[in-house]
Amino acid sequence: METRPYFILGDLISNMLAGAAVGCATAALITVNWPMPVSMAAGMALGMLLGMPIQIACSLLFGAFEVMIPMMLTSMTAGMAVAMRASMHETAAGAGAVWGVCIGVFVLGFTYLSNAVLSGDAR
Amino acid sequence: MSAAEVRKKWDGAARGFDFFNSHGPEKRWRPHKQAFFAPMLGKVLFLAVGTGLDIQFFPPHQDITAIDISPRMLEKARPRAAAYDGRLELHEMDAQHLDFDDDTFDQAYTSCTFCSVPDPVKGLRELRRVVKPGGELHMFEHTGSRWFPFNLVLHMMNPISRKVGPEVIRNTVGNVRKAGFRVVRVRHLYLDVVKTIEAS
Repeated sequence: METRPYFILGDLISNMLAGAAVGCATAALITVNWPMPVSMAAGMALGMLLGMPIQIACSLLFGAFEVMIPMMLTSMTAGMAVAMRASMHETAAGAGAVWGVCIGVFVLGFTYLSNAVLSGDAR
Repeated sequence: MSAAEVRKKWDGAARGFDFFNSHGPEKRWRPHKQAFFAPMLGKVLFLAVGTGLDIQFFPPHQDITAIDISPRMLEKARPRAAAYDGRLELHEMDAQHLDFDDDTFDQAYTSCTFCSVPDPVKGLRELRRVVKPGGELHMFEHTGSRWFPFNLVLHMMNPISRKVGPEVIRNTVGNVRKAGFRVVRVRHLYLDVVKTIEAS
C-alpha cells in the first residue's frame, strides 16, 4: 500500500484532473436530444481520448501503472456517467466537471481498496 | 515481430526513455526495486538493461552481465555501467538467442523485460538454458490482470502500448512455468499487475 504523501496526493490530483477535464468536455458535447446509449458510448470514447494525454503527463511525475490504470478507469467512467446525465438533463460544463472530480475520487478509492486486497504474496 | 523490428522499436524509444521513466515510475518503484535486486549473488545475468536506470539499484561488488537488443539503449546505459561499483559488462543481444554457454550463470534478473520479448516462452527457455541447475530466476514484471475492471482497462490500453513499447496483458507467470521453471514465489506489488516472480 502506498504511504508516501507525494504519491498519494499525486494520485488524487491526477484522478480529479482527469475526471474534471473529461466531465467538462462531455457535458459540453452531449445534449439532451442524444439517445442515451449513443451518448454513453461517445462519452466513454471521449474519456479515453482526452484522458490519455493527461495520463501520460501525470505518469511522468507520479508513476506508471499506479497512475495510468485508475486514470483510464476514471476517464472512461466519468465520460460515460456524465454523458448519461447530460442526455437526460441539461448539464453545464462546470457541473460535468464536478461530477468528474467526484468519480475520480471514487475510482481512486476503489483502486486503493482493490490494491490492499490484491497486493502481497499471490494466493 | 522479428528481432530487427524489436531493435528498431526500442532504438526509437531510447531517446525519450529516461524522460518518461526516470522520475515518476522509477521513484515510485524505488523501494521495491532496492529489495528486488538485494539478493544478487554469484555470476548474474541481467536482461534487458535498457538505458541502465536500474543500475542504481544493484548492490555493489557484483559480477553482472547485462544485455539489451537495442544499441541506442546500450549507448545511454554505458556511463551508468561505468559508474557501477563492481563488474558490469554490457552486450547487445536478443533475449531469444542468448550467446552464452549452457549453465553459465548463478542467477538471472529481468526488469520489465518479458512484456516486450516477442516470444516470451522462447526467451525464458533460453534463460533456463544459461542458468545453472539450481540457479535462480528473479523477475520484476508487469502483466495482465485477472480482475475486472483492471483487465478491461489493460486490454484497452494494449493496442496502443504494444506499438510504442510493451504489451500490458501478458501472463508472464504462466510463461515462466511453460518454459520449465518452478515458480517459488509471486509477490504482487500493485494490484495483480506489477509483481516480482521468483523461480528456479
